[in-house]
Amino acid sequence: MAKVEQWGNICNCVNTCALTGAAAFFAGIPGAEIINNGPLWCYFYALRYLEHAKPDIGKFYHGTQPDNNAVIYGTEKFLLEELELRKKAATSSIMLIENSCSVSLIGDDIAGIARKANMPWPVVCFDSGGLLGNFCQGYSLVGVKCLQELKPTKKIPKKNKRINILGMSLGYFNDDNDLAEIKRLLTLAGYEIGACIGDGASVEEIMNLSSAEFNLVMHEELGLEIAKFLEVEYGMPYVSSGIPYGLEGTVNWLKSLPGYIPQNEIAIEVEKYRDKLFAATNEMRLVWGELWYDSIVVSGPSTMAVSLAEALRREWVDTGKLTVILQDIPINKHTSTEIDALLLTAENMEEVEKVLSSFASGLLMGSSSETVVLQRNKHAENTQICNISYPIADELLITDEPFMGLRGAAHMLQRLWNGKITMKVCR
Amino acid sequence: MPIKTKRFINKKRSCSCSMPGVWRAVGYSKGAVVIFHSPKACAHVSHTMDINAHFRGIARGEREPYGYSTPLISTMLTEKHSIFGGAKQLEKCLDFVVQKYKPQYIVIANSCVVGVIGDDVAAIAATAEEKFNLPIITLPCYGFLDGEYYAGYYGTADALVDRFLSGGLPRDKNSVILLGDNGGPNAEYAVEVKSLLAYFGLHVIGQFPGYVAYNDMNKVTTAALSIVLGGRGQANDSLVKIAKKLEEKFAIPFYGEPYPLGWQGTKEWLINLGAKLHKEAAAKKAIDEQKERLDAILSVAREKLRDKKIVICIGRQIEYFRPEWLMEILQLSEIVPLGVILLDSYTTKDRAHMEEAIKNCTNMDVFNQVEGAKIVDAADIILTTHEIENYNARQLFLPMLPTVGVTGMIKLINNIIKIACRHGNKEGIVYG
Repeated sequence: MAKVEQWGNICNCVNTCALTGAAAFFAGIPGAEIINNGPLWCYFYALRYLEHAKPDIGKFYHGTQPDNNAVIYGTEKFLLEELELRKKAATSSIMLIENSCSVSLIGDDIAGIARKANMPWPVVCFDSGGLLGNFCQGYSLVGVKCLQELKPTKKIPKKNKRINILGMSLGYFNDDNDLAEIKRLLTLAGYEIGACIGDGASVEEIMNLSSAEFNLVMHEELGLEIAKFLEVEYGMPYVSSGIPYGLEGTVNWLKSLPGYIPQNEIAIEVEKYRDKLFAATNEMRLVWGELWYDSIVVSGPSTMAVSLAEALRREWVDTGKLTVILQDIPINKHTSTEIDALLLTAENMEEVEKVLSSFASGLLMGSSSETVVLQRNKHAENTQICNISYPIADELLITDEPFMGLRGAAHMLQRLWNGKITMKVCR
Repeated sequence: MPIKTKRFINKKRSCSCSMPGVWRAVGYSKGAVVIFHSPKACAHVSHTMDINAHFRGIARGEREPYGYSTPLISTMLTEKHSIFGGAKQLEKCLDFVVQKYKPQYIVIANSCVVGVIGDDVAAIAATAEEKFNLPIITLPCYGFLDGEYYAGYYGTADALVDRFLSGGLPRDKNSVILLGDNGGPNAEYAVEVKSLLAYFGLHVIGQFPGYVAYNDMNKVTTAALSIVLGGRGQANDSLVKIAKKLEEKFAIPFYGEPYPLGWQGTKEWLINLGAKLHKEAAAKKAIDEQKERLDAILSVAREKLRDKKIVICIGRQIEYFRPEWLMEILQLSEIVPLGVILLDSYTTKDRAHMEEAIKNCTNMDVFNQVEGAKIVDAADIILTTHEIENYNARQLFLPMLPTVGVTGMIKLINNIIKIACRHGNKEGIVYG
């Protein structure tokens, strides 16, 4: 866990609040309705964040808009009004009522209000404002809370090689494509996909989650606490081996899965990609030289940033210095021989500011937030930028190509090469 | 097909937050540091606004003036502060900010959390000001409590005038200080106003409050005239108060006429400015030249938009959307729309206000959302304040803050022409 959080210019880091994280978890449950019991402003920013991945989220995500007096008299009136509207308008599979930070402090009995409204579906109530923490804390805590409230069935026979996927979220950039690739690979590897909790699993699938042999944690900061809860309460083992980026990275990740038996089909695909990537990039090297960067900064959610940085240096590019900035506080400490400097925005804010303000050329893999810092320092022109995480205002990604897995390895290498070539051409 | 709108938020009560307003008021002022006495994530909201504004500026070729934004620090309140109070946290944060950034002044914005836990921020700021011998400004606004975005923006601007503008400098003849934001000195509004001011031999020396460095703050008082870059409603009212204050304290006359929106608005703005400056001939020249620009685009519009079936959908409250400028553009372009549809977002009172405003500027038929479905079905082009779902008709999003002057009219007309010239069944809204 973090020591005391360091202050610094917030414009050097990314920190979406727990309110958004909690909403993202429920946005990943088909048929879920979400009520944001807080000011319109907080609601609107969470809505806009989630709209990137789920453009129709506004149909399922609503705000109560309490007024000034609510901090004295409570939000019951506003919440009941919204709940009545929802009862009339929607058929929901489950509902989340999330309090914003100031509303969390008033002490309203939200669960009691929900009972009074007699909602015809399960309701989960959660104090989830920024006081609680950031996106991943909102996501993982509400994930546990959701399971505590739903109480999935325990007495279901285990299915051989069935696995649940934890810690994926539509709140992460390119999540839908990555999840599809993970499912494809696991299926090729002979596993049966159980529930993708918080990213597609229905209430029914969640209720039957204990039929899986084990839980697979992807982004630890999102899924690990949920996996630990399921281990304690349901005796379900879990595995967390980072995220599969790159060809070798993906093969190693598959090997780390319990009961994995190498599959011929995967071996053939790996070889196909290896030959294709080698031939294509070799051709490019003739004209454009090596993919070498004096300096690289990778900035993003912790599991993604570390796993991606490792694949980057082992498989895709070479560099004089690789710095990784983690935007959240990892639950487990990360170490890697591939990474020269590992910084947490929470603990090393001063170093983060220095790295970004002095970053004059090289490769930046981060978000539009870091890009703005570079542009304001007039350093963006000499920096190749490859977006990997939200917020993103300067790139459109609409194809179904993942960052993760075997297909992702080709896609990322393509992005890196094209980025380098575009920079050289435009100069 | 029934009309459905995307992201249709019915503003019932509170709307915005005062903290981003505070930050924006000094967002590009060198020497300032802003502290959000808040959970960390509140600052992220403002940071996201800044990112979006940065890229919007790049997209329009409006480079930020200084390649700089004011450091934004959050005190990072957590649950324990909600029990024990956040005063100590704020004090420590002030120590850190003074040591690390060596600011010339600090502005503290308070979150709704602070409003609930009741930290005495004014007292902490006063003590720190004495301790560091440094101006520290704070306002009695707490997130969405006790005032919204403009309360934060105006309150900060007002405090800057009180604290940093002392006068005593010689007047800079023919100089103007612009009051307000609207995207900053290189954005469409300020650029258009500057080009209109050139007819009168006036030059702009700065844009207050957000774009004036601490060291240049008192130079604001050298202006021969202040001009409000407001709009209508809250923003304009607040800025006019600042303009009046500058007039009272430093004898800077102000020009706070409604902004030059549409042709009639632009003409009136120029005539009134000419009268104020006793430069009627300059105003006439400006009007003649602007008319020429307008006539050129209108003749193109009349040809390209002839026979196009256009419908207007309005769902914004009157303070956020005045229909006059749009109706004027359509009338000048000789377009007779199929009608106006008022979307289901209004209270009875708000709807009556909008209907009255529409009837005052046009005799077009006004329909409700249900009646309007058939009309929308028949349209080639929908001019709308809200994106309409599942329609193949070409949609143009009517901006909340329309671009001013003839340049603004040209921009809107060109966008309508572009959308009319679209081939195929491309969906998606065009932002006007």
